[in-house]
Amino acid sequence: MLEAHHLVKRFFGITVVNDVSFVVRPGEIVGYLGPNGSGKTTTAKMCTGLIETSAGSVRFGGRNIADDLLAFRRRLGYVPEEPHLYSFQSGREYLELVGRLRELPDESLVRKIDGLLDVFGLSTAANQGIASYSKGMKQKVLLIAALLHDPDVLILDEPDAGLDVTTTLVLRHLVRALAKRGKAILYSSHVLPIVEQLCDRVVVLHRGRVVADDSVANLEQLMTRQSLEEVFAQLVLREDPERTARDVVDIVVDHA
Amino acid sequence: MRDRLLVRHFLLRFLDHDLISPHADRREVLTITCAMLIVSSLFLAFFLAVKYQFNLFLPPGLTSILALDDRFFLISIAMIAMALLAVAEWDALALDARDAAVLGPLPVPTAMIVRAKFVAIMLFAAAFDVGLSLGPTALRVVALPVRLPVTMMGALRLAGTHALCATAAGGFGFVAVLGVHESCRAAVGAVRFRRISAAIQATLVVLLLTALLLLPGTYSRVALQWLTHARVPPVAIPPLWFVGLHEILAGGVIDQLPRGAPPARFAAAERDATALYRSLWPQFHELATVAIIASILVVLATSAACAWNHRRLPSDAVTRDDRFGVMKRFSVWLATRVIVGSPGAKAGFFFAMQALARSAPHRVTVAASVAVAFSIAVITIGAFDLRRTFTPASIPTSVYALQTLMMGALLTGFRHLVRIPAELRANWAFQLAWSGNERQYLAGVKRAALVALVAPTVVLLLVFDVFVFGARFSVVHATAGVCVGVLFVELLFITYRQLPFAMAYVGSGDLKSAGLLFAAGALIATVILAESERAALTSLSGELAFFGALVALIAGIRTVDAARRQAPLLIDFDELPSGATQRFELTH
Repeated sequence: MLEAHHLVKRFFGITVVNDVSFVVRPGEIVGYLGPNGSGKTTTAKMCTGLIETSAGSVRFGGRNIADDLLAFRRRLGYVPEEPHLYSFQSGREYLELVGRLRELPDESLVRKIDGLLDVFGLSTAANQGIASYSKGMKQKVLLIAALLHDPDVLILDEPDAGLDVTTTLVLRHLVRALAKRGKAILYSSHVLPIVEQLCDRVVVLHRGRVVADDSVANLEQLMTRQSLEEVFAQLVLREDPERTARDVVDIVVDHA
Repeated sequence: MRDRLLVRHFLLRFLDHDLISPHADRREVLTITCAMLIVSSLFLAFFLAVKYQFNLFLPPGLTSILALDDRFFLISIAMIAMALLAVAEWDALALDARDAAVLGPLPVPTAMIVRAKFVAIMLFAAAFDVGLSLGPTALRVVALPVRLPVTMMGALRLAGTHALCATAAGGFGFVAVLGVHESCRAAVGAVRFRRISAAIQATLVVLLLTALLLLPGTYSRVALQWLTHARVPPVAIPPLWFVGLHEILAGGVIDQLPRGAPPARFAAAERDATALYRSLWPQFHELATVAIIASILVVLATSAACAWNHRRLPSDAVTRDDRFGVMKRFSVWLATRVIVGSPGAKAGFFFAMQALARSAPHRVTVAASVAVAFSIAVITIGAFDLRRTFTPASIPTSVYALQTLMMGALLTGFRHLVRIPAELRANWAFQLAWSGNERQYLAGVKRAALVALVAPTVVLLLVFDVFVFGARFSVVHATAGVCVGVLFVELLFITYRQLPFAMAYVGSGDLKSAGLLFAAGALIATVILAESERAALTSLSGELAFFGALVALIAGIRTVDAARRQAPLLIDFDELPSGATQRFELTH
C-alpha cells in the first residue's frame, strides 16, 4: 500500500503542494486529477523519491520510503510526464540499460523486451535512435521500462500523452489487468473519460490542495452531477470556459 | 529588422549547445571565453616579445630570421585555434532540423534564414579571430630590439600586416573546417552525413590538437628547418603560406634598415642571416601566392557547398538504421560472454561504450586525450634512430615509458569524462533503476576503458614494436602494458564514489593544486616503472618478478577497492559544486 501523508513541497518559499494525503491500495487504481500547475507531477515525483518532501512523508508497506529508497524503487514502476530519454541510444539499448541496472537476468530481460516491443508495435524501430522517435513512441518505451521488472506500485504521470487510439485502448486494458494482479496504481491524467472508466477512486487536486478524494460514483452522487467532467468543473474551474474562449477569440481577431 | 533578429538568434545558439555550454549559462560561457581569449593572446604576445628585450643590440638580419619563428608560431596558433573553434561548433555550422522546425512555419523566406545563419557564422568567427590576434598586434612594436631604427610608419606597417595575416590565417582555418563540413555533406547527402559526422569531427579534433601540442617543439629555426632544409615541401604547410604573405607585405621594414656596424660578436652571424633571409624571398613570393589562391579557392568551394546544401531547409528525418547489425550483434555477443557477466557490469560497460562513441562532449574529450597520447608518441618516436639494432637493455627509457604515458593521457581523459553526464535530463532513469550495486556497474565502466582505450593503445604499439624491436620484446612489453593499464584504471577509480555518466558535473575544486602534484607523481612513477621494466627484461627471473609485482599490486588495490564498496551506494544526484572559499575551509 502506497500512502502519502500530509505532503508539502515548497520551491523557493512558494508552496506547490500543500498537505496532500491519499492512499493507493494493492489492486486499486487511483486517478489523480487537477488543472495545469496544480501540483500533480510534483506529488508524483515525491512519491517516487525523485524529489524530497518539504514536510510529510510517503510510506510503502507502512515504512517511510526515505528509510530505504533503493528497496522501494525496486518495487516501483514510473512513467514520467516528460519523456526524457538518452537520445543517443536506441529504444532497445535504453530498455537493456534500465533492465540491467535493475539486475534482471539477461535471458528474461531479452525475452521481456522483445515481447513488449512487439506488443507495443515498436519492433521495427527498436534499433533506431530515440532522437528519431515520436512522442508516442517515446511514451511506449517509458511504459515498457516501467513494467520490465514487474513492479508492485505503478505511478503513471500522464501515460496516455501522445499515444495513438489503439495504444490508448491497450493501455486502459493493461492498467486494469495489472490492478487485477494486485498492483497499486496511481494514474495521473487530463483525459477525464479515461479516468472515469478506469479508476476506482479519484483524488482531485487544486492549487496544491486535495479538494476531493472518493470513488467516481460517490462524487457524482454527492455533487449531483452526471459525469466526472462536470464534477471536475464544479470543483476546480473558477472561470466560465465558454467566456474564456470568447475572450481569446476577441484578442486574436482584434490583433490580427 | 527581421534579418538582424535572425542573426541575433543564430549567434546566441552558438553558445547554447551541449559541447560549449553544458550548464546552459550564456553569460558564464561568454565571460570565460572572452577572458581566456584576451589573456592567452596577450600572454603569448608578451612571452614572444620578451626575448627581444634581452637582445637590445640584435641587428636587422638576425631579427628578420628570428621574427620568422614568431610569425610562424602566432599564425599557426591563429589557424589551429580558429579551426578548433569551428570543430567545437561542428553541429551548429549549418542549419539543422530544429532551426527548420522553429523557423520553417513562419512567413520568412528560406533565403533570408540561410543568409542570416551564414552572417551569424561569419560574425562569430570574425569576433574570435580579431580577439585572438589582438594581443600580438597590439604588442607587435614591443617585439623588436630597441636599437632598431624602425619608423612609426614601419611599426604601423608591421602591426597592420600581422593583424591582416593572422586574421586571414585564422579565417582560413575556420572556413576550411566549414568547407570540410559542407563538402562532405554535399558529397554524401544529409542522411549519410549524420552517420559519419561524429567520426569526421573526432578525427579533426585529434589532428588539430596534435598539431597544436606539437607546435611549441617545432616552431624554432623556421628559416632552416621548414624553408631551407625542409623534409616536407613548405607549400604543404598552410601556416607558412601566410608567413610568406607577411614577409612580402612587411618583411622589408626590417630587412631594408641601414645595417651600420653590428657588434663584433654578431658580425658573421648577421651577414649569414641577411643572406639567408634574402635568399628566401622567391619562396616568400611563392608561398604568398599560394596563400591568396588557396584562400580564394577555399572560400569559393565552401560557398558553393553551402549554397548546394541549403537549397531548402533541412528535414527532421533522423535515422539510425541497423546497417551494421551483424557486426554489432557479434560485438555484443562477444562482450557479454568474454568481458562482462553480471547485469550491473553489462549496464556500465555498454552505457560507457555508447556514451564514448555517441555523446558529443564525451567523444570530444576522448579525441582530445587521443591527441595528447599521439603527440607523446610522435615526440618519443621522433627522438631516436629507428635503424639501430636494439637489445632490451639498450632500448631507451622513453620507449618503455611511452606505453604508460599514452595510457596515462587516455585514462586521465576517461577519468574526467565519466564525470560528465551523458544527458542530464535523462538521469532520472538511473535514479529510479539504480540498485545500489556500485561495484558491478563500475567494473563494467572500467572494462569499457580497457577495451576502448587500453587495448587499442597496446595493440598499436605492439605492431610498431614488433617491426623495430622484435617479437619477443614486443609481446612482453605489451603484456606489461595490459597490466599497467589495469593498474591505472584501478588507481584512477579507487576514490571515486559516484555514478559514471549519470551525475551532474561537479568540477574538481583542488585541480590547480592536486593536478600538478598528480602529474609530477605520475611522471616519476612512469620513469621508475620504465627503468624497472628495462632491468627486468634482461632475464627470465627478472620478468617473472616484474609481472608478479604488477599482479600483486593490482590484486592489492582491488582488495582495498572492494572493501571500500561493500555497502550499497545511495547516490546524491543533486550534488552541488563546493564554493571557492570552501577549499580554504573559510566557511566553517
